[in-house]
Amino acid sequence: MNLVAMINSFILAAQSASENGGEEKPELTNIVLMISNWMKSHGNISAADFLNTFQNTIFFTILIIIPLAIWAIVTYRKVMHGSEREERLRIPKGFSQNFWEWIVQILSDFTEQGLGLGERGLTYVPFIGSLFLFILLNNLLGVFPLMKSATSSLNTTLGLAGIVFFTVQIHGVRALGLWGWIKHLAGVENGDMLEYILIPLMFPLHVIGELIKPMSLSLRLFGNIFGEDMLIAVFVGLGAFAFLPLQTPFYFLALLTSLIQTMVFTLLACSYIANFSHTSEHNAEAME
Amino acid sequence: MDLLGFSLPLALGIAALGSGLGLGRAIDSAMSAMGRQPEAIGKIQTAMLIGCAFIEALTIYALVTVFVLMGKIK
Repeated sequence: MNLVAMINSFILAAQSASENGGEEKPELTNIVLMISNWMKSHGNISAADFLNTFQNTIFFTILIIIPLAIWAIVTYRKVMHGSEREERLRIPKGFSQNFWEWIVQILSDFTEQGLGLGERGLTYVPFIGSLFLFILLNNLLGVFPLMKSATSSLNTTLGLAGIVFFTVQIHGVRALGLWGWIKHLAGVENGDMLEYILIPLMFPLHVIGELIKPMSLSLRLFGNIFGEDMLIAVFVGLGAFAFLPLQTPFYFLALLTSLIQTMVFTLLACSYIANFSHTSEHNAEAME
Repeated sequence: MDLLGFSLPLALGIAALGSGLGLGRAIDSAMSAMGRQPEAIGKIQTAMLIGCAFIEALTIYALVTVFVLMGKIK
């Protein structure tokens, strides 16, 4: 009862103390906001401003990444460099090893299905898998009471989309060669005369399409997660006068859309990578 | 005469209308496919959810525009 009253009464404080300078975006308070308010009341303005500016992208990102990475690395060392290496490789033992093997199996199946490249696609499991885990855990973090999603700020999602963009282009150059990459961007697949004639039309179209892809990826993820968090905040404010938990149905919606948005982001990244690779259809036509 | 406070919710409503129509068609064909072949319900469900996320993204772009311009309504 006390915790609910405290949280609901902090909404007004968050509206005035949030970093967008008093605009009326309803926002629930989180740990970093509370710490920076405490610092401000003790006179430590610059540290409070620093925390406020980076509250999303750095603090909650670190909160997700560091425990997960430490757990994974410790499990790896225990299995590969430990004393019982042979038995553990044959039959997994212990909670950590079983858990991580399960997660890696899920991500590997997901990537294989998304890429459609078979054996060659397995080199991309670390990238796609860590993208999936990062986005999923960050989206789900916004549901917890005193936390805020890192992906509810355009900074994080634009960074992720930028990473995907550069990975896709560099993979294209490496898989197709520099000249093959330019030809793919110009729309020349089979070397027909018609395709060479249409280059002035297809080249700007493809280039603009490639530049739009990170924009749409980032805006889709940002809009969904930020809208979801703001919806929950508005409904908390509506029920605040009588401590009614009016936002409970939207928690389930938040869980569903978090999972769906990560799958969409990751599957799109997979399909962009597969677009720039030689598939078996290409090889079949090239052999004729 | 400031039209922003009138046009932003109207724009969002029109975007929601478009996504409602599109989602209705997508889920309609997904339901028909599920009825025809009940063994494939899992795969069809996954594909339907991903397709719905794409269609929903266009409405989300309109929502993002509302967020950006929300502070400028007097």
